[in-house]
Amino acid sequence: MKEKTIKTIRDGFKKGNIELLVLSLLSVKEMYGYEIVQTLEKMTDGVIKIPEGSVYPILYKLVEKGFLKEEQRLIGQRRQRSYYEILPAGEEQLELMTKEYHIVHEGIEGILNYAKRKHS
Amino acid sequence: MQRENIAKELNRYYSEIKKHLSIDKKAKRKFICELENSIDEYLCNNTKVTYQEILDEFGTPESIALSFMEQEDSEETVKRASQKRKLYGFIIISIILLIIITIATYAFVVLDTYNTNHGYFSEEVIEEEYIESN
Repeated sequence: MKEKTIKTIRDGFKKGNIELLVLSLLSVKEMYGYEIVQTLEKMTDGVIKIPEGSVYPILYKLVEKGFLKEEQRLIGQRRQRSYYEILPAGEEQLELMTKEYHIVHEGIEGILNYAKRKHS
Repeated sequence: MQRENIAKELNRYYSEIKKHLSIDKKAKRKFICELENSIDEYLCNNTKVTYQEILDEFGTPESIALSFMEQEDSEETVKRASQKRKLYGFIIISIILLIIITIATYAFVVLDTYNTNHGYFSEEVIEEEYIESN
């Protein structure tokens, strides 16, 4: 029961931040969808496990907005894989999102600390 | 090799996902193709994978479709819902009109048949008198 609650809380936090996480990873190097999912999971020791279904619509949306470039490459004999690379507009968006994330994060921290002080 | 062992289940898996995704065909095909690549990679990196392990790693068809739909642009979703509503409205109005036309036609035919069998014709005969000048 507790595990389910924790999962629900984490899912809620992740939902609004997947775009930021994806842009962040792609600012280091180009990747394909499954690689992004696996890297996030490995880097956070399984805390952030994004379903495959959530990553692709975000990638498509970021390509559409001109933040990422998609490149199809042949893997094996007939399969095509899409690699995603961040574009300058994407770098700018990442900078803006990171800044906003810290502002919101600090705001939340402030409220949590205030409540903590009142309780103690 | 592993893919061949669970090929049937995987095909069913992809079909189920397609069924649950309400997005345009092109995006659906693209997403399924990317998912197939991911599952292929998972099968290459792991030995003796069962269908249940695929479900555990990638999620059930319903959950995959749901997570995809959740990330879809809300604007796009609203637009699609509005188009759907318009289409349903058009279909309902068409059905109502069709029903009204059918009833009206039927009523006319029934009334006409009744009048033919039970009614009478009123005939007015106009007699004209020609007077010869001679």
